[in-house]
Amino acid sequence: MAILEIRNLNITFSDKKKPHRVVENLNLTLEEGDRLGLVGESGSGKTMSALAAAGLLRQKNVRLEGEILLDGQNILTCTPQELRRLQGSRIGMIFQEPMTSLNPTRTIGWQVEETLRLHTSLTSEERRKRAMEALRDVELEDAERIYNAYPHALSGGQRQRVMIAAAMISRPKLLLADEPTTALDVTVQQQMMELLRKLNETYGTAILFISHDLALVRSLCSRMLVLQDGKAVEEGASEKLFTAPEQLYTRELIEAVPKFERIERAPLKADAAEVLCVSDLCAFYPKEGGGFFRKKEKKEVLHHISFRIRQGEIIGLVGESGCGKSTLARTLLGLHRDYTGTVSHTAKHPQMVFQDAGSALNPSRTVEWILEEPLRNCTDLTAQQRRECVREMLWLVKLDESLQKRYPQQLSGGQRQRVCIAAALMLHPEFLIADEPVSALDVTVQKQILALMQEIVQETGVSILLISHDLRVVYQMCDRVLVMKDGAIVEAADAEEIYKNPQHPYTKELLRSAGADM
Amino acid sequence: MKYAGKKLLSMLVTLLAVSFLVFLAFDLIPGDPALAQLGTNATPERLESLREEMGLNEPFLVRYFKWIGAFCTGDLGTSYSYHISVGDMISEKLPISICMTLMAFAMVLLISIPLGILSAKHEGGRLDTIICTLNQVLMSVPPFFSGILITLLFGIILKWFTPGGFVSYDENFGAFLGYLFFPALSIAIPKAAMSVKMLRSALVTELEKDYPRTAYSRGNTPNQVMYSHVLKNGLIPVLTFFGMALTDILTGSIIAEQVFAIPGLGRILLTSIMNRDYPVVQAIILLMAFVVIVVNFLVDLLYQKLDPRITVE
Repeated sequence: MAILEIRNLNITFSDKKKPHRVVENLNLTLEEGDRLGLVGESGSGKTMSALAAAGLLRQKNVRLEGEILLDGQNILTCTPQELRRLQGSRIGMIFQEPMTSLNPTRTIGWQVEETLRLHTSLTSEERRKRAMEALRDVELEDAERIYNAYPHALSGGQRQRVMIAAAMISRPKLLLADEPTTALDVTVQQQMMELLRKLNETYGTAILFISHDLALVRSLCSRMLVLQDGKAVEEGASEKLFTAPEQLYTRELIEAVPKFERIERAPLKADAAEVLCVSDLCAFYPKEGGGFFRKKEKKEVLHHISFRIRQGEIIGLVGESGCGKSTLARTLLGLHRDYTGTVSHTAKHPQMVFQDAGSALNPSRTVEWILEEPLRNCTDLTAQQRRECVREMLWLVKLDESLQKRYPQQLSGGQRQRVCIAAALMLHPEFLIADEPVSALDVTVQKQILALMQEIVQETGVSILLISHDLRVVYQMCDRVLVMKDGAIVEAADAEEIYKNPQHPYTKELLRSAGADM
Repeated sequence: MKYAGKKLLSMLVTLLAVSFLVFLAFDLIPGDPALAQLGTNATPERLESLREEMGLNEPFLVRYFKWIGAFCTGDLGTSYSYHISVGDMISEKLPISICMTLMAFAMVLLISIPLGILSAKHEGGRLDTIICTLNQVLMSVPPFFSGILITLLFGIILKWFTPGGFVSYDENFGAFLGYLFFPALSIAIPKAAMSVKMLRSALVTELEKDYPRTAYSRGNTPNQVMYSHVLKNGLIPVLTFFGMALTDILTGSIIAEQVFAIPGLGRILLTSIMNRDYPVVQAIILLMAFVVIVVNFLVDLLYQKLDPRITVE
């Protein structure tokens, strides 16, 4: 029997009297032990469908129509008590952000056991035993310590494992996983996929895996369903969809997945001047503790880093979160001052592009104001000239002129990142640091932004330090690659060389996680 | 333990600084305690000998250290106007002020926590709108004015208590508490209204986070999500405000004591300032500073208890 069956599901939001349909006529069936991937870009309705299936769309302004049969029971018509019983015994759900999805002021043990405490009559001793088992099941080695710890004391990967343990403790028949690996490092991402597969095979738990990352879905799921604007576009076996997509949209999605393919561009000039030279750079952070009279001790977070960037060159910096990438970027721009060694710029107006364009732009200013700001502060141009510059820049980043009167929140994610890039380019910098500029974007948009950055380099001759956790992106874009681990550069070589002939074991691991054939 | 020692040291330093400032302030204010005692008809000789007797002719620092030295041994000095020990004067009035403060603070907690939760639960609903509107009104009523209104309504019209009929705690403790109820209420109302507002917005913020959704996905009822997940997190930011409210109530009781004719600390503080009875004034101010510092310390400790992310070394 099907564990989850969704029939003709419509989800409508009625905000401000204007109904807005986010999911339309969705049908899907999940048999016991199945692994189904739900794929689509942001706004495609995949998260809404999952939340509906878990009975978590409870706002007053949401209208649900159709049938969601969970183990034969329609959760849209059952009583709240019945729904809660189902939630506690049949479905488990894990979310994208393991940090914010855990209660910060309760111990891990308390949260993992919660389902048992609410829905069974086990004693606290039995619950504890089950929780320990669940924690070991998700391959958390130090289960005893983690049981008593609070979420902030764990790493991102550990937190997601805890979420999985909590979801699996009542041995549900269905696990809903909403982008569970998006916030994690690539190597951790791989481990998490392994774990999900293992749990699926050991306990026969069906998995509905929601992701925007097609490669990831392909590696886990036997079937997949592609959503676009709330409608199902195509459904079928993963391999077949991947190799022979029938619909245009599916093909677009697959093509946009970053691959180890270089974006072609003119080779670097042999006599290109150097714009940045870093030698023997060490950076420090104050250690915790210290007091009023005692000097704070320092911790070295960047170790003896040296490299140089030439005009028109794109250099990639890869490494996992916490390895010191952002500290390096801040130090290069003079935002972090506690360092030794030398950083010498010959470039004028070095600028930065940030990961989250949504929060990097002032929400109460128009695009025009934001783009004019550097000109107002650093040049003597008249208002007329400034407006002319803004128009030229919008044209360069391929944004329509009509957008300049809008506010950032009225733009899409891709448009916002274009505004960020435009703002960084306003003073015609010779050197740009882009810190994960595309990781918050959908794959199709990601592809456009990367292409735009390539064009800008061709056109303006700017040099870019591209920081990313995704080796595929770096390989596509960069002339040379620096691989960073624990604050030190472990390998530096041409992109082609890194890909074909990696030296350091860590580089090899990164390549493997990124899906390179090795 | 190391933390407690450090904290204790910093509390002592703060108290010393306050004592010095208080002493300095009363030295700089124009007015002569000796003159205030003798009246304007005093002969210069009589005035001079009294100044000598009261030790007012000694240099400032000598007087300060004598005073603070005696203070540390428990001798709070002698009142200029009543010629009795300041320690006795304060310890007689202290229970009245403490009772009223605690009562008002308990009211703040008892009113604001349930109403804050109720308001957050029905965010945007009719009940929430009513509570928020009422809040806005009550928040803007100063305690002396609400004191007058309460006296008029409950004292004169409804006759639930006799205005001015204060009963001392050693006569009839029940009647004493009964008399303090309405003064305490007048201090508590604006503080409670502000607490409701703060707690409500803290809870609403918490409810919009991801972990309540996780809690729902495990089959918690809305009440369970509120009480075993959200409330503790929502109380953390409000805790500071509760600490401030407690010290505000203590110092704010001076006005309520005037309005309701209660012979508490605030009363003697006011008369002592007018009579230039500096030993009494200094002792009371130092006492209040002490309470403020202790309450802040307790708030710090409670913070750690509630929020595991905060650890002190």
